[in-house]
Amino acid sequence: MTQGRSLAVALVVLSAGYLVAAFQISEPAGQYATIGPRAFPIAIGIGLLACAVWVGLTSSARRDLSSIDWRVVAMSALAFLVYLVLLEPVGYLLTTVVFIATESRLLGSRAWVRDLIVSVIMTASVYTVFTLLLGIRLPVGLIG
Amino acid sequence: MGALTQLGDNLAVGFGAALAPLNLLLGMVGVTLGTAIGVLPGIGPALTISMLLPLTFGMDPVGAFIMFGGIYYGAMYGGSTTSILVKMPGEASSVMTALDGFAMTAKGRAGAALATAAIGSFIAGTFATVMLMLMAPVLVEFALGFGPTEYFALMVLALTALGGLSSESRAKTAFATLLGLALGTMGIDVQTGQARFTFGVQGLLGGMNVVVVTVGLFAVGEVFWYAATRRTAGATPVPVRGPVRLTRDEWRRSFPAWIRGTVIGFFTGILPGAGATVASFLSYGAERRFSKAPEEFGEGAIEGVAGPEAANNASAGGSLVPLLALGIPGSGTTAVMLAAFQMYGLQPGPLLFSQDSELVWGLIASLYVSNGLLLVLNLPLIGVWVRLLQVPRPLLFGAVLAFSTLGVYTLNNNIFDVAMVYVLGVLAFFMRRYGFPIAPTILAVVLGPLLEQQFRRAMAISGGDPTVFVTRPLTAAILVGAVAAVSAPALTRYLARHRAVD
Repeated sequence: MTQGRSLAVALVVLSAGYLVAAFQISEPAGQYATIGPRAFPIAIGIGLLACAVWVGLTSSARRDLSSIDWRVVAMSALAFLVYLVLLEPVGYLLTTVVFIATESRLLGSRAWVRDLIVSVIMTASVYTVFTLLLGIRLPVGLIG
Repeated sequence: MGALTQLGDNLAVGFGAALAPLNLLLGMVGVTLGTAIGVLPGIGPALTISMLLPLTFGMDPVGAFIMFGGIYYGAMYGGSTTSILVKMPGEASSVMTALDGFAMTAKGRAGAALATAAIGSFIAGTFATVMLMLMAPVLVEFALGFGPTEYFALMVLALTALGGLSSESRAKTAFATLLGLALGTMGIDVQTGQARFTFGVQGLLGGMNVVVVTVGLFAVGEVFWYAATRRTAGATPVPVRGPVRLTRDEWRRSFPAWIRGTVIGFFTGILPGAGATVASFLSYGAERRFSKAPEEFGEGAIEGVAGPEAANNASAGGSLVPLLALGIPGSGTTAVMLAAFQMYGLQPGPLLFSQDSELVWGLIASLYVSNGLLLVLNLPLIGVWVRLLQVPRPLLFGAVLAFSTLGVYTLNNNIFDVAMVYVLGVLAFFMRRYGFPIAPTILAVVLGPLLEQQFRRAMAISGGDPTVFVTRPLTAAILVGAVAAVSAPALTRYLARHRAVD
């Protein structure tokens, strides 16, 4: 019950924030258009706010709360963030191989060697398809 | 007579394009990939097409759409395999198939269940493509008279119908839809040049790139969700014993179910918001009602597999009718396909039929070819697909994460887009965590900017008079339909009652 209520509060805050930002869009003066750039966002904001209240009144949070493994989600999100930051400076090949192997381990795989071999093969073949066949440039970084 | 010769000409152009060696190859890639992702739970056609969008950017659009069509149809075939053999639907549209399909497997009739699903899918897919071919040009003719008010009303209908028919909480569906509309308002307003919700960030000026949104919400969100639940771990398919074929009696029982499923599926597919999942539910309900032995349902009634599997395939064809003829998608997958059209600078609708008939008819013709290929892939080669379930899931999702982000990076060679994907992935995770559906958000992000544009255009034409939305009869009728879609929970109740059989 409290879970459902805090969800509704979060949604109301989010919707109100959007609505406030919508009111700050400046209407260009002397436009011929009858409906300016503000009208739609304001309407959406009001709708969001109404729905946030509606969610609060009608829905409780999901039942399967205990099944969420927050540690793995957080670690995955972190691994992804590191991948993001290192992609350009270190280059595609190295980061992707390490990332796939790491993520697989996080998701529960325990076959280190297999994961590493598979991720090397996958990364290399994708690299070949991108650069040779499609002519798309990938970040080179330390090794190309 | 004139219409018939024109259809013949169009088909000649279409098959000419579809059978060109490169396009044929891309069609084969599409159906193979489609079947594979259909078999694998958690990876669906919308996700796959969005992951491939950046890759196809430099390709000829005809080939790209032939591949996407193959993926869409293929996923509908593949979804049944997992349902029947593991009792875990490969796609949401195969949930109903799992009930009787797995019961048949438990009785040693897996081969018959797979056969009725594949043959039913073939019949349904072919019929739906014929109907698409016949109906789309008629609708195009009709749509030539549409103005901004009609398009506005149709988009409102598409968005509200998705909420009205959804199985999730309607409040949450409505919120998810509005959230998508809100995301769609970010960036430069095309009519006035005014920046909205950009907070001074350069990368946001161009607005939400649809590829970024779909990859973030579907692909990355799915991986985070898998990380949290790992619900698909440990699936061991039951080995298929006996040949994949039907006995005479099973043919006799399957045939009417295929036909009913096909008709239900095609027309459900045309309706905005309904789509494959609703089609399969309706078909299952209809089969139970028509059956002389309803008590067999859930215990391995072959009609319970034949009907829903025909229905979900037919609905894929049906959903292409409004997408191609009007440019209005009704589901997650067709929303991503509309995004693909936009990426090529194309706007589906009446103009596309006259200006780019090679693309439209090439796609339609390729669907016939794909259906034939899929029947071959899914009857004799079924064993290959079953083995796909043994691919370690962690490795698969790790790869999805890496390659989808990489595809987004190559869009603009810009790490900012990848960061956006990340943020949206986290958003999608929390949406799923709290029971908000993702598909309405995607549909709204794609349709939102068009909706606003048509609304403002209509108001500009009428000189600011909002009564144009009620005085034009067709517009008013469609808007009444939209209101009915939200306010008529009768159908939802009907569906809920039939779901309770589980």
